[in-house]
Amino acid sequence: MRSNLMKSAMLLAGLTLAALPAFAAGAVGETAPAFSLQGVDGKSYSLADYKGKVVVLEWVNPNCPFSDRHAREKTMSALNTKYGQKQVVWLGINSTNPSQREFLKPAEHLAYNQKTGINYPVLYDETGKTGKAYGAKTTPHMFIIDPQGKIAYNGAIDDDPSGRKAKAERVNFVDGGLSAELASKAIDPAATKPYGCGVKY
Amino acid sequence: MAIVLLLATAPAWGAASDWAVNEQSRVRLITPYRTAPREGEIRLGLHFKLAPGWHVYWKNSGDAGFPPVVVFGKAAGLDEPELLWPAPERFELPGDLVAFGYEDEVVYPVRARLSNPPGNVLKLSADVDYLVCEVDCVPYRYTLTLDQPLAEGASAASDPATEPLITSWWSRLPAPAASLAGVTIEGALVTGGATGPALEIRVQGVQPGADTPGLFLETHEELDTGKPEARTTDGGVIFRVPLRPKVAGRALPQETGFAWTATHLAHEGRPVSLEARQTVAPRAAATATPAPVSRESIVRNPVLATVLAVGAALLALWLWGQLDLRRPTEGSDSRRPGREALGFAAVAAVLGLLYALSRQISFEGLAWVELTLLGMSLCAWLRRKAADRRALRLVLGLGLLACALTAPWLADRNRLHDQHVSIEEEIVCVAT
Repeated sequence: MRSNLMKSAMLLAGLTLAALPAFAAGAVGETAPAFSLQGVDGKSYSLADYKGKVVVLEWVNPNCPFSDRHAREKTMSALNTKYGQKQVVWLGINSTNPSQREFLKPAEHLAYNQKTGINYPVLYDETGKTGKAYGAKTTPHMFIIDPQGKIAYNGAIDDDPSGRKAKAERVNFVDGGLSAELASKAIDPAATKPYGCGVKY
Repeated sequence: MAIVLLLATAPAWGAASDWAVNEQSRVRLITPYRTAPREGEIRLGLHFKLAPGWHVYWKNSGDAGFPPVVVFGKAAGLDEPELLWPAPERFELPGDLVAFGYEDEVVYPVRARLSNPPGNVLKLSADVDYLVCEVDCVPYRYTLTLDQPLAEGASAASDPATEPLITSWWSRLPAPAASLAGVTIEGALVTGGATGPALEIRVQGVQPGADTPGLFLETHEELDTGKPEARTTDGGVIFRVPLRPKVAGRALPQETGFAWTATHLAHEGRPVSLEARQTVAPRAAATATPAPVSRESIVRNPVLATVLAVGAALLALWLWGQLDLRRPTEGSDSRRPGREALGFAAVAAVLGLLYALSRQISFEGLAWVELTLLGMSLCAWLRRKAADRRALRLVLGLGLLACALTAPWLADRNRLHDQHVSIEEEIVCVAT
């Protein structure tokens, strides 16, 4: 009986394989994948802890020049300061695989965060499971999650990949997105092409 | 760690600027001229040499990175130069990420126009921002300068070192699809099929080149694009690209534009890359699958394919001892060594026939046929278990028979063939 069930299961699995999706999750409007990750500070963080709040997820890698430039320019820290008092939670996620040479141990990561003035928790996603669940491709890659737990923005931090523009001339999509979200308006654009280094899964 | 360099070198004289050199790459500005013409179109090039394993990017960088940004300095008599993009390659990165670009060496051709600039020298300068990646990435910024001597009259003298280089890379620019004799393109947004919405591009009048044909799409504002698949037909190549609206639940646009470059094709015996900008419109789900009854199908008739699939499934059930025509007796076991292995071969035949069927009926139809096969299996299994209940065995036997007879009927009702001819005429396609 058990072997017959196994055969049936194998047949069903074979038929189902043909219909696998071609894309990861993470599209605007979809439910934000749940996660529970440990921070570089040793504490545990779960998305469920922030139910009812606006959550910003930023994929980070201190050894990526793009992530590092924004850290040094305090692009994200300034936004966290601006919106932190308005029920907005900012979380950095580092999905760098520990086998990659760019992986930073907790003490190194904490020292980097302190040096660059990063004022929000950064979480380890060593297996890459959370990054892949969101379809995170670059560092930085930004997501805004609305109070209902849906993804409201997916894309780049701004419109200046090369960093050539003056800060005031850049269009910061996350700044605009948070303003719109807090004013209960639709975020426009809700999706942009993220830029930066590939996430080192 | 990031190293961003800003380098301004003294202008070089002739057909090439000095190299700007770093650990991963070197870059310079080149022209094909010892003395350049004073009037008309001129060619320039941005020449990269890359360390092994490192790459720079095409105009759509893929999942990560960004393409070079070049800002030319203003020079009297020089119109705004245009950076052009040779046919790219695809690089697979960790985490199922992809990048599009060039490794080893590339010259990005640059097209510009001159209208009798003053003096005997054209002072060229270019601010170049680029990202070079292996798995790690490093951005660089340079200012490249070059004093290009100008010819006295309209005639120009070519430089023996740089002219062949620029000519070679100019030949790797994709040709506009409409410019090649006998080449036609068609496109459609397919709103169904086994893998969901897709962009389908048919290029007729070409053959596959030495490598597998590739398709590279420019970034689309509303749609995410998946990995393209290429399929060769009698008269050309069909590309199919999975699509997903960037906002979940949003319908495909009624009409939208795609810009693409197709690589590794051959036209009249010569390797060629093509590019086009198309406006495409949705097409009904039932018409999604290209060439539904093609020569490559194992069985060309969907009803026959389904009958054979049902037969193979029944054979597998019988070989596995799940289908007994007689009432099983106590302790009997029809399974024998070797017989079960044949059951797996029968299942392989079922899968092959379902694949053939997937080319001939709609996705929904295929799903119904698969359900009937599962229904057959379930009836057979329950019937064997109900060894002592004659009435129930009869009912389950009739259920099995009903499933077996329903499957070909479902295949017939959902066949694509009859609709395909008329839909061919509905493809909306404008090539520019």
